[in-house]
Order: sequence, then C-alpha cells, then structure tokens
Amino acid sequence: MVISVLNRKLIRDLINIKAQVFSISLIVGLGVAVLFGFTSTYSTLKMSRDYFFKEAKFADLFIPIKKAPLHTLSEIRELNGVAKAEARLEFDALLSISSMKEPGVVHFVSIPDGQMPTFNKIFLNSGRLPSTVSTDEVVVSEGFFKAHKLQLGATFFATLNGIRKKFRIVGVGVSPEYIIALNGTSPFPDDLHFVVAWINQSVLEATFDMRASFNSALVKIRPGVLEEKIKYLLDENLNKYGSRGAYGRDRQISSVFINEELKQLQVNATTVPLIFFLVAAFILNVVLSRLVNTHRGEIATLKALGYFDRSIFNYYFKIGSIIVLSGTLFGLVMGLWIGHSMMKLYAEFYHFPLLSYDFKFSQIVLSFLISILTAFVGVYTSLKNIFSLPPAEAMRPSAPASFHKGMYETSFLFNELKMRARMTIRGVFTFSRRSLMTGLGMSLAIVLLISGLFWQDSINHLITAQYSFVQKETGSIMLTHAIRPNAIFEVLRLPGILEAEGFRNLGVRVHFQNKVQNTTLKGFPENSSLQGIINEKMEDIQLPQTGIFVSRILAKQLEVQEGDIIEIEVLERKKPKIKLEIKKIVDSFLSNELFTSRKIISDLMDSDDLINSILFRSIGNNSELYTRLKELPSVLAISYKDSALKTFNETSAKFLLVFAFILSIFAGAIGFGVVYNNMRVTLAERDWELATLRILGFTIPEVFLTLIAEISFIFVFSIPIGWFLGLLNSKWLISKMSMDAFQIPFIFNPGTFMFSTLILLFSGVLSAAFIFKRVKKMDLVATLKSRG
Amino acid sequence: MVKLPLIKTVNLNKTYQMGEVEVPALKKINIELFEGEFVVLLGHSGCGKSTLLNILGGLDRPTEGEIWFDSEALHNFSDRELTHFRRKNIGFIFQMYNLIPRLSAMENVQLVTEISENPMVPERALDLVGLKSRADHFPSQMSGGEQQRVAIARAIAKQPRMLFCDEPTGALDVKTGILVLEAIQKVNLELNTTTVVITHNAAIADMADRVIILVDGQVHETKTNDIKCNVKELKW
Amino acid sequence: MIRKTVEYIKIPKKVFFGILTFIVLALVAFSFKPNLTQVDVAYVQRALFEKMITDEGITSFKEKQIITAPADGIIPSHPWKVGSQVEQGQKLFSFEWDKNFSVQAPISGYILQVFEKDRKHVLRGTPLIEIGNPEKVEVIAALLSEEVVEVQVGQKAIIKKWGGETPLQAEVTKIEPRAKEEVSALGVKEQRVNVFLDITSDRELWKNLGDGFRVEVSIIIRKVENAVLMPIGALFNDQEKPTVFAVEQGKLKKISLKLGDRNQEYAELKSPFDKKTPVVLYPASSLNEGDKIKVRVIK
Repeated sequence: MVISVLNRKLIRDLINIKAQVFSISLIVGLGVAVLFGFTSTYSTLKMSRDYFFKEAKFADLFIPIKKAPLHTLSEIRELNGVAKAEARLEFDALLSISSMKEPGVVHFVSIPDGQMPTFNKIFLNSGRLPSTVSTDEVVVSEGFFKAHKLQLGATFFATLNGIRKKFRIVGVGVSPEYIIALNGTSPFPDDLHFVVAWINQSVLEATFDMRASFNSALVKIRPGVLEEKIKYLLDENLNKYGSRGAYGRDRQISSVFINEELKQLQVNATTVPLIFFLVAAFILNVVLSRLVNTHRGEIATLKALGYFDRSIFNYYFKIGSIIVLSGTLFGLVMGLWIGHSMMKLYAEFYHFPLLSYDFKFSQIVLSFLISILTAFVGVYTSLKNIFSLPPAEAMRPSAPASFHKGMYETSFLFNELKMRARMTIRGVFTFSRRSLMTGLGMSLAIVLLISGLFWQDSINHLITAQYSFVQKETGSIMLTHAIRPNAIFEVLRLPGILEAEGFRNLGVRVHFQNKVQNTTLKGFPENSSLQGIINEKMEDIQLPQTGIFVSRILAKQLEVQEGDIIEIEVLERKKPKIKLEIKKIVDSFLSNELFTSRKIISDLMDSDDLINSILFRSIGNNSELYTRLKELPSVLAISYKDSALKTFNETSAKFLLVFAFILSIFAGAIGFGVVYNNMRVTLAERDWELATLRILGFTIPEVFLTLIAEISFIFVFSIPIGWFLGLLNSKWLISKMSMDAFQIPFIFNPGTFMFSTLILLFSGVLSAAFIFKRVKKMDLVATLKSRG
Repeated sequence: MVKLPLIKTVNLNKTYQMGEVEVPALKKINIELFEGEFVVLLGHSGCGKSTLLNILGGLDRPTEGEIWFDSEALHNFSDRELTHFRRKNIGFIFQMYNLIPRLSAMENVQLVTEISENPMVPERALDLVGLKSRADHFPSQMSGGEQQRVAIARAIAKQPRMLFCDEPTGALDVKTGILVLEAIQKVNLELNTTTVVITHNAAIADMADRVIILVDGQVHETKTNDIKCNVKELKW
Repeated sequence: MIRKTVEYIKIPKKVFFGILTFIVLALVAFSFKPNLTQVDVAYVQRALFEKMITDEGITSFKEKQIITAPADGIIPSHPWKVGSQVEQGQKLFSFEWDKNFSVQAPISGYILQVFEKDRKHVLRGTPLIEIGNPEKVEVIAALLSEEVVEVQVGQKAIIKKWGGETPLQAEVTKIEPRAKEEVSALGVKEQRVNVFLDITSDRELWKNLGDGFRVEVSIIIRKVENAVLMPIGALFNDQEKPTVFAVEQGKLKKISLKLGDRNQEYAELKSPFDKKTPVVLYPASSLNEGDKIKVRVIK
C-alpha cells in the first residue's frame, strides 16, 4: 500500500507525541462517554415513559374525594374541557403476609368487575385480571411481587374496614400511576411494605358501603384547554363531596419522580461533557501549537511556494481529527456500557412494562460532530497566528519572548530569590495564555470532583437531620378514623412499645393571595419527643401557642413569609375556613406541610381533642407487636421509618463509592492531561534552555525543578479558584434540582475540597514523574546541535 | 621541570550509532592541554572538533579510550559526577550565546555564581568583558556581540580551570567577533584559565599558543605559535 | 530532590520539610474525614423510679344530687344553666300549684346538668337538674382487669393533663369488684374495672377542676429509691435486645443492656453502666458502631 509522503509524515508526527495523543483521546473519550451515555439513557427513559403513559391512557387529572354518588360523574363529563372521565374506588388497608413479620400497606384500586379500566390501564406481566365474579382475586404491583419472591396464586391478608380478609394474587402488573412504590409517607420506595392491588369494584363497594358511589375520579382534558381552569371547575363541583383537590401529573408522585430523574439526566448530560470537551480543545491547542511551531519553517516554505492556507490547515485538522475521533470511538463504547448499566439500575426502581436500553443514531452523530468541533476549535486557534504572518517572516524562527523587569520586582522579597526562582516568577507573570488555560484546566478538574461529591454530604445531612432530630419514631399507625387520645394508653400496653404519641393530621387547602396549595396540617401533641421541628441550624423549635409553622418548601410555593396570614380550608367533613398567622418558617426537608398543636386543631374543628395517627417507638422481638397490631380493627395502615431507609443507605453507600471512584478517575484524567501536556510542551520549547542549565552544571533534579516550578506555582493558585467555582457550581446544581417534595440543603464539607485537591495533586505528581523520565533522558549534545 | 598536563586523552574514540551504521567521529585521539595555555582546535565542519570539545568538557563520554583531568579518570565518571565536574571546573561558550532570556545580564552571571564554590564577584565578571553598564539589561535588549560577551562573563564567573569556546564568533560580524575574541584573550591572560577555541576559521588560529588541526576525526597536526598575534591584528 | 527544592527558595530545610509534611498530612486527613454526625445525648440517672399504671380517668364530684320533679306539672321558667352556682337551701323552682312550694337546693355547688327545658310538662320523679359540690372531687379510672390486680387501696397516684400546670397527688380509695366489658378505642373487646381515687393535693391548686373532666391517672404500684435508670429515648433494638449507643472518646459503641421495669421516661438498668458515659438519644438507624459524632448544641 502506498501511503503518500505527507501521510507518512503525519503518522510520524503522531507517534512522536503519542503520550499527548493518548491523554487528549482519553479526555475526549470520557466526554463522549458521558454525553452519549446520558443522552441515550435520557431518550430511552423519556420514550419509555411517553409510550407507557400513552398506551396505558394515563389520566391528566386525579381527584380524590370522600364519597360522591355515581351520577356526579355525568356532571363531570359535561364540564367544558373534559374529554373523558372515569370513577373508581381507592382504599388503603393493613397488609399482612407470611413472608414478612411486620404489617404493611395495601392500596386497593378498583377495576370494573373483570375488565381493564379505561384509564391508567394495567400492563400485565403475568397472570390475568380478576374474574368477573371473584371477590378475593387481585392483580398486584410488580415491585412487591418480586421483592417477596412470590408466585401466582400466593395469598395475603388485608384488614378492610375492620374486617380481615384473605386475597389471592392472580396477576402481576405495572401501571403508569405506580411506576415507583411510594406510599406517600416516606420518600424512599419500599417494595416490601407497600403494594398496589387491583380488585373488582363490587368488592370494595360492598366492604366500604360505597354502592353507586365513588371516591376517586380520573379526567382526560380536551386538547387546548387549560389544566388550571378544569381543576378549578372540578373543585367547585366536587367540594361538597369532600374533594381533597384535583391535581395533575405534576403532583402525581410517580410522574414527578420520573420527571425529576429526566431533568437530572439532562443537566448532567450537558454540563459534564462540556468540561471535558473544553479541556480537550485547550490541550489540543497547546499540543498543536507546539507542533506547528516546530514546523514553522516548512509551513512558511509551503506558503511561499503557493500552497493555500486551507491545505495546510487540513494537515493539522487531520491530526486533530484522528486524535479526537479515536477518543470518540472509545467514548461511544464506554457510553453504551454506561447507558446499559443505568437502565439496569432504573429497572430495579422504576416499574415499566419494558425498559430496554436503546440509543439513537442521531446521538452517535452528535458525539462525532461535537468531537470534530472540538478538533476544529483546537486546530483553528493554534494555526490562526501563523496564517496571519507573511511567509518571509514565518520562515524566520519565532522571536523569543522579550522580557523586562516587572513592577513586582521592586519588592525586597524578590531580591531574596535565587535566579531560578526569578525565572519562574517572571515566567508566570507574563501571563501567557497557555499558563492561564492550564490553571483553568486544573481548576475545572477540581470543580468536576466537588460538583459530583457534594451531593453525598447534602443527602447525609438531610438524612441525619430528618431521622435524628425530626422523625424519631420506629413507626406510625394510621387509624381508620379520628378517635379519642386514650387510645395511646392502649398502644403503650402493647409488647415492646417504649413511647407512643397521638397526632391529628388534616388534609387542607391553603390560600394566600392568588395562590392555592393542597397539603396536610399536622397537629402535634404537647411536648412531643418523637417528632421534632428544626431550623436550618438543626436547632429544636417549639410549636407556638397560636398560629402555625409552615415548611420552607410550602412557603416557597405560596410565596409567604413569617407574619403573613394564610387562609386554611379543611377538606374533610365540616370545612370551616380559618385565618392563621404564620409564626415561623421551618426546614422540613421531606414535606411541604403545616404544623400546629392538636389543641389548635380541635379549636379549629370545634371538636374534642382527637387523633388519627399514632407514632411509636418499640424494642424487642417485634413479631408479637406486629401480630397484635394486625388484629386491631381501627388500624388502617402501619409504616416504618427504618425499613426503606436501611435499603437506601446500603445502596447509596455502595453507589457513592463507585461514583467517587469513577469521578476521581475522570478528574484525574483531566488533571493529568492538562499538566502533562503543559509540561511536555514546555519541555520541548525550553529544551535548549534546560540543556544550557545542564551544561552550566546544574544536576538533573535541579533542572527538573526549574521545569516544574512554574506549573507548581499555577497549581497553587488554581486550587482556591477551583474551590470557589466548585462551590458556585454546586449551589447552582442544587437550585436546579430542588423538587416540590424535597429540599436538599447545601452542606459545606472541607473534606470534599481537600479530596479534590488531593486527586489533582496526585495526577500532577504522576505527570511530573513521566516528565522526569524524559528530562533524565535528555541528550545534551543533540539539543545543542539542533539549535546551532 | 616537566609540566604535567591539565587534560590528557589516551587513544580516545567516539563512535555514533546511526541505525545500523556506525559512524566513527573520533579515532585514537591523543592530546594534552596545559594549564593557562590558549589552544585553537581547527578543522572543517564535520571533522569532529565539536565532538572532541564535548568530551573534553565532560558533556559526552568516549566510546573507547581514556581522558584524564588532573589525576581523575573522566571516562569512568557517572552522569552525576560529570555534572559536578562541569559545575566546578568548566566554562562553556557556544555559537548561539545560550543566555537565559528571562534573566538579565547580571542575573545570568549570578545563576552560575550562586552554585559555585569559589565564584568571582558577578560585577567583576561583567566588568572584565566591559559590560558592567548593561548589568540590568535582558538579552533581547542586547546585540549579538554583547550577548556573547555576557556568555563569556557567565562562563568565567565561577573561575573555572578550563574555558571551552565552540565557534564563538560564528554568528557575528568581523568587528564584533574581534571584540569577543579580545574578551576571551583577556580572560585567558588575566585569570590564567586554560582556553580552547574551536573554529573552522584559520585566521583565528594565529592568536593561540598552540593549534591542533583535526581532519576526519584524527589529529592531523599540532602547531606551536612562537609569536602570538594580538586579536586586533586578526583579519578574516 | 527535596534538598534541591530547598536551595531553590531560601528557607531553612527543617521549616520546609515541616510545612510540606503538614500540608500533605492535612490533605490526606481532611480528605477522608467524614462530616461529624450530630446527635442528642443523655445520661444514666440515679433517681426515684416509679412503676405506674397509666390510663384515662374522669373527675367526679363526690357529692352530687339530682333534683327530680316532686309532682306532675309544668316546669316553671328558671334561670338555671349548667355552671350556675347555688347555695344550700336556695330556692330552685317555684311550682304553679303552690307558690309556697319550692324546691330547694339540698347542697351547695354548681349546676352540672339541666335535664329538661322549662315550660315542659313532666311527670313526677323526672330528673330536672343535677347539682354537684366541687369541694370534694374524686377521679374514676376504668382500668384493665389484667392491670387492676396490682392496684391496692392506699396506693398513691399522680393526676396529669387535668388543665392545670402542676400534676396533682391522689390516692386510691376504692376498687370495684366487678369488671365490665367494653370496646377499646382501637376496637378491641376489653374487661375494665373502675378504680376510685381521692385528690389529696391542696384544694387551692385544683379548685377549678370540674365534673366529668378527662385526666390522665398514673397509679404508682412500685417505688424504688435511688434506682439506676436509663432514659428510654436512648434504647433501640439490636438483634432484638435492648441496646444503647454509648459515646466513648467521641465514637459510638454499642452496649446491650439488661433492663427491669420501665415507665414512660426511664427503664431500670440491671446491668452495670458508667454514669459519666453519655448515650445517644433517638439514634437514627444510619448510625453505626465506631462512627464519630458531635453533640447537637441545644440553646
């Protein structure tokens, strides 16, 4: 095969700088891996979601009410803007299953006897729908089925309306409404303790005395109609039936989680690769500039001979492209792996009918395009200077940089420095673009690490605060209806119970100016030890005698401040409206609720002091406790603080380790790439200067030190800049990620900053080690000859 | 009394490996250099004079043979020992000045005096070459001749035993070249530094005590000048 | 190599080494130091331990009288409302048929109930109003039959949540022999026995206490002076044994305990425990043995 002379030279050039080629390739590869991996994951997840929602006819609006007669449905259907509407029954019940000693929660959802519902269809993974006449057959949610390793035909017990009944699983399915197993009390999915069971409508009607009635409506909006308007109409019509407020997909918990996940993917897919491509372009510029400089004479000759700039540009562009594209190929493969792994992880938490990773050809094209763009930028900027020179001047060796004394040299401190130190300082203060960019590149490596690792600190803080100072209970018991507080004494007598406290929680609608929110008003007992309320300094705050506390998330939604008066409408029964003053805004990371005392609530409702929820702490063998709890007729559901938290901690600890490791490698690659290439090019540029030093009698270590002095200086300065930018970026990321349900605090952990510095230092030392080898091998005689 | 040579080579060989071909640059060189003398190493380009200079100055090692400095066996020295040897005893001057552009004239000299055991006062070195007034100027602010003279000052500031000059006037015009050679001559006379100058220019040979002519890597002829010319009288 | 760096910048060797080592060590140490988790702590107490039976009680005026209609007739209009104060001998009602025939208050006290509205026609013996003497109040607690076996007349009790600041002292005066079947608040069938207690605190403290108020009664069935007590907020489950997290030199250490009885605040400690060692209150399940902690500052 005949390779043209030019191409052979090209290959030789590439081989000469193979370490630099590798480092740039690597960085481009990492950038592509993240870009491709995340964008393909994003598109897969989005497509799966869109497909699922469409095929399953996911409703637009959800309206939970207390009880309404069926004919109300036709009224809803006639509302302007409603395309379709359906009614159904939803009830929670206490779950008891032999594969688990503690009780859980079953969320029963009705289907028209033996038929698939019109909205929020179920996708059956196995089995079938309950038969038309059955009273005990159910379809259960996939997560629960898998978590308990059940088979079709397995049974469980549920206590509905005080009566314990046995149910048989005839089908396993997924529904767009319950993609994630959340029961509303804890932010962590709990497939063990929470299950959705689809059952024939007639069963629920009979058990709960809901014949010809419904307590949950689903609405599909006509295209082009404003959601807000329909919600308002629906609320108006259904208020009298105890409506807790219509909400759309933006409040539907399943939908919210997926949306947040997609948002996060999007942010990561755009910001992280950008860092890599910027750094790659910069290093490419440095390396190519040097290459161009050594070819200076040849380029000038070609220009003099009449070659167009374009063909000269093409040569270097080819070099740049080869480097970049090899990295892209590696990056695409790695991106595939990333995409696959992420989808597998998602499949564990999100229950879709099908979640298989797929990428789009356009995403591959995008990766290539961006890589080529990077190469273009790197090449163009390095050639710009030489193109602007007339050939004659270009043929002469480039004028050495002229130095003169700077202002800073008048200080006596400078005079104390030895000559080589003065060399370094002067070099630094000429502010070469390369030095600045090197410093910035190093800072970016630090920024990358800090931005990736700070999450763990924030989440840890959130969990500590929440589970050490706010939620101190072992579990909470939801009661079927509000009862008198002497029930606490009963709970205290149960085996293993240490403490028990009663709460009264009301579903409310809060009005402030033109803003409305549906949320919960929690009524605390006097001097609660099991539930705390804290401020951002993690200090306890006592509930006020009058007025209420508002959680920061809710305060943000309503745009209220301390001292404002809000109007609260109770959504259950009697519905008195009352004005209450906001006494304080408190940090409640996991909820958007209001807090007050039980006494204020009983005044509000003009009733006796009642409770509908009991929090408890227990020790000892809990099976006896659970057995007793399962038998209590007034117990609707029991949830556990620890169970989901434990799984979350275990998985998140493992995940963090892997993530930190990968991120360190990424940042280390950037650090190494930037430092090594800078030093390599400096070494090439100043080879005769360093050779001179050797000739003058400076030893190899002394000369090496002179070489790395400048970059060490830059390193020291890049660290605080990296910290500062990392801090800003982290804060920005948090503000982008805040959800309605969560509020993640920003926690400053010096350890993260130190660790990122350590990684950069390590990559710098590694680069220095490679360079040292080169310095050692420096052939003085050859260097001298090349200049002479 | 027989004067002992400062440097002596015994059957010195230097062969380069160029791929599969061996190129002999120096063959069986036997020379001696005495304290205080001014020697010119003459020869056409490619005859091996630079190679010989590099070995004499401790920048390179012979492939075969011996090279003695006083009673020390330079051919057995490690890299580190050679570096220290150069540091202490040798001053170099090259055709391309080799000044550090980031340092002023004075600082270039100080660079060397800082690591010397027995340095000259830097101002004196500059004075010797007539550039005391340019102490704070940077190489980019000086002419070629001035830069070369600073290089000389830098080379001698450590008070070396030997001064090696490889084509010191090669990049300069005649007038400037003479100025430079004057400085070298002054140094040789006032400091009694053994001086070796490499050149292809035979006219310069007239200022030497001895002339060693190299042809094809071997010593062709050694001449002694009974009458040394003054530099000003040189013409080329 | 390091030596050369030192020559490079004029600092004494020892100082340079010292600074370098310090920086590297600090970096490494800081990098892997986790942010300290905050916790609340408490200490083992040596105090009076009272094992109690706690349940709901209802106040009742010891002296109550129901005034009934002396004959068939129409109730005259009267100013009596619930809460009206009457004196013994005070005229309550004057009936139509005999303006001189009046019903008088048999005791002083407050009107507790008004059974019939005025101008209504009633038969003889129909209850009209109830008067109660607030001077002597007793508390009636319906206790579980399983628990009441440990209760004895004369035992002391504490009355809480009665509406006032300080808990009141009381004493068991009577225990009914018969149990009644009732359905509990949580829907379970129970057998309950009525226990009567007299309030022994100074009347000045509780003179506003009415009839039919719900209170919390805690009967002390066992007392131990100077008992070694562990706050129950510190207890948690570890392999089904009661355990606490002790804080030793800033680090957590799991210690399982042997406990005796407990009440709502403390548990009797039956295994040895250093009183000076703090224990973590309400430890989060994310805490592990060996974790370094920081005590939360409480203002």
